Amino acid sequence: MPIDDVSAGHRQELRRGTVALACLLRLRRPDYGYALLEALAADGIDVDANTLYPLLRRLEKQGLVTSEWSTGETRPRKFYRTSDDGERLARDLTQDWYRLDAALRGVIDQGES
Amino acid sequence: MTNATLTDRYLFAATRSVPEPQREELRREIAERIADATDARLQAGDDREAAEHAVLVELGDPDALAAAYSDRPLQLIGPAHYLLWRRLLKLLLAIVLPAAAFGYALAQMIDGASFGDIIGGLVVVLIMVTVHLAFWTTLVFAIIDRLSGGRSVLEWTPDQLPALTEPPRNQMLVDYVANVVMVVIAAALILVGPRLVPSPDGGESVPFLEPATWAWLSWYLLALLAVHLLFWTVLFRHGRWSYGFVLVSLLLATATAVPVAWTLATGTLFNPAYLARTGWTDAVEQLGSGGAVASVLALLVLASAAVWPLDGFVKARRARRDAAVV
Repeated sequence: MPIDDVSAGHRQELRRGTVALACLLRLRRPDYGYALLEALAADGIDVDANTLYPLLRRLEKQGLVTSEWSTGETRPRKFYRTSDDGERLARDLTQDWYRLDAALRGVIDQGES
Repeated sequence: MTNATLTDRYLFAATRSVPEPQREELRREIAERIADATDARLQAGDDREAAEHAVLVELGDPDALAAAYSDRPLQLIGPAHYLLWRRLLKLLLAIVLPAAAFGYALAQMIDGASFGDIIGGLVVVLIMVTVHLAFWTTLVFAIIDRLSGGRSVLEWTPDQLPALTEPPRNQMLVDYVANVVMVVIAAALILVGPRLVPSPDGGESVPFLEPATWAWLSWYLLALLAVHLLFWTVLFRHGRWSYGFVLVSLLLATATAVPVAWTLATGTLFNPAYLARTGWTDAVEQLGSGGAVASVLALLVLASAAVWPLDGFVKARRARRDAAVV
């Protein structure tokens, strides 16, 4: 396997869990799939449409977001919003993120000194 | 309008594999996604046809999309059950194939089929048994995998670890003694055995085995037993099985079993005069040339002789693996 593929695989793995957290935080304000995709890209969270749309469905199935069809616009769109369970999970994941960041900083500093 | 048709066809293809109650919801979601993505491309300056085409290419195979959207696995047997499936299938094949081959050959022999017919039929039977075993095992596992939601139904525990093999030298000594004892018993049976079989009606002595056959077969077998003894001794000195020993044991087993089986199957081993005087009325037909009982006995002789090189093969392979580990 070429080294580019290997490093792409590892970077993807490192990012994987962060997308769900970013979605839960972003969807405190209701939004639909394509707008969320663009907002995340603007935030610097790289996510593929083929990952994001199935993820939204899974989050809904797990009760972490709720959805509602909005028919007022030019075409019907499904708006997602973070549920109470999703809010709790988002807080836990945020804590974990800070812990991981602190831990990795420690490891990085040791490696450099 | 070709564009509408293309999108409609995609929506149809992506939703047809989903259960009816979820179909409309999924269709609307994908339609929204296609429309939003197409609009974005139109604003970037694409023409409508190219934009729609590019969006559908990005979505990919509709069946794969539907599976991703509804969290369905895209494999027949997932990692939770693959190893169990492979282990069970190997075990089943190792047990059922030889049993089926033996049973089929036996039935055909009793029916009096020719050698060529038996081999030809055997190939067909083995292929059929293999296909059936593989198919049904895989089907059952695929169902288990779906029903269990990809979680393993059997937990692995350390108790399942394979036992370490015995110290080889010790095992070789046990094998050697057992085989020497067997050779001695066989030699004694050949020398005095036929004379111990009582005459059927107590009158004048009628030999149990056909004298013309036994005259050469007894010396031939005794000579072979000497070779067996030599073989076991060399093997014991050498300390472990190797594929060379397996080959020699295969030749020895063939040289021993084939003449015995052949005289049995052609009805030249037992003395017809003796058989005729026993209480068993159709003994001559059953044990004569092509007789059912004679065929079964001949097959049993061949099968039990085959055990020996097979056992050697297993031990040789194990010895090679252990050597590779050390």
